[in-house]
Amino acid sequence: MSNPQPNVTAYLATQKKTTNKELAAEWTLIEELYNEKLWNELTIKLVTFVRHESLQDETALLQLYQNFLSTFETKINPYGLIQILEVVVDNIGDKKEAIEFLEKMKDKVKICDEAVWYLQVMQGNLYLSNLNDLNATKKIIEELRDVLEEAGNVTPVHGKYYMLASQYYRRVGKHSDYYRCGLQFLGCSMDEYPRDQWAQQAFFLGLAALLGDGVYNIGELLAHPILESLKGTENEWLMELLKAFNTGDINKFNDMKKIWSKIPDLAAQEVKLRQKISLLCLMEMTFKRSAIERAISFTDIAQETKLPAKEVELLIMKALALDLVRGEIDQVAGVVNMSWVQPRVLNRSQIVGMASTLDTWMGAITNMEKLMENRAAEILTN
Amino acid sequence: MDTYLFDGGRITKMEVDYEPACNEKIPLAKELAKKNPDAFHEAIEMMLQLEKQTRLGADMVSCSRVLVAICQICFDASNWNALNEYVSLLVRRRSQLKQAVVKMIQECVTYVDKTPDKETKLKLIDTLRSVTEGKIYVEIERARLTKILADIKEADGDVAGAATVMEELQVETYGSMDKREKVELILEQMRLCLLKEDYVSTQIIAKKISIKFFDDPAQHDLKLKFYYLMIQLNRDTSFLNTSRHYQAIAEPPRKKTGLTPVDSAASTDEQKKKDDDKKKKEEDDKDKKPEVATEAEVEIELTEEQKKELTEKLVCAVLYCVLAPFDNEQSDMMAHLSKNKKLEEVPAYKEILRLFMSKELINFDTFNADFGLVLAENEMFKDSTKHGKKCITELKDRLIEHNIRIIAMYYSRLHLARMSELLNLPTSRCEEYLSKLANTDTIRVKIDRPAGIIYFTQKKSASDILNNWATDVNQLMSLVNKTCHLINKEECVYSVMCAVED
Repeated sequence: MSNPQPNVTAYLATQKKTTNKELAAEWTLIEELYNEKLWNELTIKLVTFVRHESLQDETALLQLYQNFLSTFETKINPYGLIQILEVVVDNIGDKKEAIEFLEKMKDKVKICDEAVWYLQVMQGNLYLSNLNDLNATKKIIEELRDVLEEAGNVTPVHGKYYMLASQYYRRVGKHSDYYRCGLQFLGCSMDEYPRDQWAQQAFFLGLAALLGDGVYNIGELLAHPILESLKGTENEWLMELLKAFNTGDINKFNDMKKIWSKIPDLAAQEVKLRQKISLLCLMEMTFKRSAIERAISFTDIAQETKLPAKEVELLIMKALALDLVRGEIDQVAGVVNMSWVQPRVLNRSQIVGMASTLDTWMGAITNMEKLMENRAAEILTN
Repeated sequence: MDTYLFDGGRITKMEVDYEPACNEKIPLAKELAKKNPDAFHEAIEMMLQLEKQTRLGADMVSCSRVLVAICQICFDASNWNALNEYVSLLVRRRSQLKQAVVKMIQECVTYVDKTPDKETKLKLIDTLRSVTEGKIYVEIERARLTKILADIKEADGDVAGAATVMEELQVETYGSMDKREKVELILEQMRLCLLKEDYVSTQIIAKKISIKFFDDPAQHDLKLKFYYLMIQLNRDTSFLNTSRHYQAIAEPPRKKTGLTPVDSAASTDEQKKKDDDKKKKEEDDKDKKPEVATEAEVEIELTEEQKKELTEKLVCAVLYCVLAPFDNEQSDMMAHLSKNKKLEEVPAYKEILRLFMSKELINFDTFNADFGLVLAENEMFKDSTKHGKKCITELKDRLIEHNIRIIAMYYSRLHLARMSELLNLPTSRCEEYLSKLANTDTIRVKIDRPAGIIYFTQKKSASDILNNWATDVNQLMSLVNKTCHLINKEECVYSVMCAVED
């Protein structure tokens, strides 16, 4: 029992002798908290203190852990411990050692799920950014996915997880997953995201929205403030292109070809892009139709989507297969009867359209009600 | 001192202890026969006298020793005819003790592999099989002899004979035989029936094996053998079952748990004790289930070669599943297979599975261009084999049927000419496939031949239409109510925030 005590005392005494007065005062405060066993306050203090610029060194941080922190690590909040160790790990030069270090910490914090998740996210970040081990990263992401989805509430770890996952999917070129994880990240912890990276992130998300399979809900991205960061930059055209996709505006898409075909990924995927905007155009047509005009003729679709007549049916079948719309095709009559369109995040004008539809419906009901009132007299009389 | 024997349900009292006599006379007789071949009969006679005494005196141990000694004397003298004669003779003696017979038969079984020629071997086997017929206490020995006989017949080219001999055995009823040996013999029965192309018998025999037996990791080799036989059986009759068998094979072997099956030829009493122990084990297993489950899930580290082979089996499972005719079960199996992560190692086959699961038309030319080479390399689609040709034909049929199902799902009516165009088939063939699918009730279709129009929609009754309308309105009103509720909630929150700020 007397063995660890002198180490801590000696370590703290040594640290207080630093020439930096401000730092010395910090160490004095830390010593007081330690001596009085105020673990929670000590944790809060250390979370910020450990980020002090003069401490950003592998040796210093490891000594801090080994000589000081390890003596009471089981007494403090595990999540706080992980937050402190995040800085320690960042400064370890050999990243494999860093991962092993984190693995050892797992046992010590396993009573707190959040801490374990956070620790795994940190490992994933190391694999992805430093060791370039995609398989290990993928394994961690898949392990955590189910766990985090089942967690009852959104924790700070969720944002970090989605950031890790989105970076991984961008690296391996999976646009759909990147888009989804990216949006979930923005939904979780947008506040902590540095503003100077908004534009780049918006650009990448925009490209992923265009290139991703199965991504037909662009309204959510368009409604998010991050996209405004593209205004005034050389990539402002991407905003316009995304709006064109959202409304299925093929003319605009064609007009902007000179601009977007400069991006190699977009140029290579022109066929897919064209198919996607055609599908979105079909969705928009279906959405705008009034309830009493459910039949859309092949001719109209061909006009709006700029497709040859033969390919209209294939487009409709594609939309039906993806469950973007529901309906039946009557090839003999040359029409398709649409009964449903997939719910999407709408912009203001689209909402106005929907509101007017409801108003029309209410008007129709009111008329029917009056008609019933008038006719009821005859029924009552007879 | 009184000693009681439980000899096959009868209580017999040993009357005289002949152990000293045996100790004296058995070595004497053996020595006599060895030294002087002419004294063979004299030695046997001496043994027969002693045997009579021990049998009538109900001294089981001594009687066993005498019977074994007689066999040994015949064997040492290489007098196979005498051996056969005396075995038949001794088994039928009055009040012959069962345990003594067991010991004698077991001794003789060891001689089967030491016979000088095949004719002698066959004679000995026939003798032993005839004397053991109908005797429960030597059923195990009889089964083993029968297997040896079947092997000999098969080697002679008489597969039908071998199968017939093996089919006589009812090993599934043997209470004293170890389970693993039972399964081995049943697998042998299946194999021989398959060789003579008796598929009905094979199917019947296959049902005697409980699949749960293979849950034990120690029985993995038998599991593979079983499923390979089942694949042979079902390959030309049921693609769905074949796929199921391949899935079982594609499952990697698991690490062996601490439980090791104990080989023991147990008597009835011992069998009862064994059952009691099993019950206790099961009760213990319930308590320790999580641990056992954890252990069982640990997979053995596989070599690269083994992994590759398992992947190949998985590929076969996918392909046979795709080839199976469409129904609920096949659909479920495809969905189940698509979740297998090992498929990511063979992206081409994963894509094939996805195409058949999707609700989009599959263009045959595109399909052939994308996957033709990959499939051509697969054993299943070899043009040179009968099975391969069948698989190719079935694959084309499945693709067409898939497309027709998709069209039926999306279209209410269309021209036959247009369907012919979409399917890339002549109109007459279109009608053929439509009729076939309509017969199997996969789709509902009517054809107006003079007008060349196909109708896919069923006529709905007025009440159905009204019910659908009511349901839709109900859903819509629910959505509207929910929207209003959410809007009101936001308004309340907003007004509260304003009040706080003020």
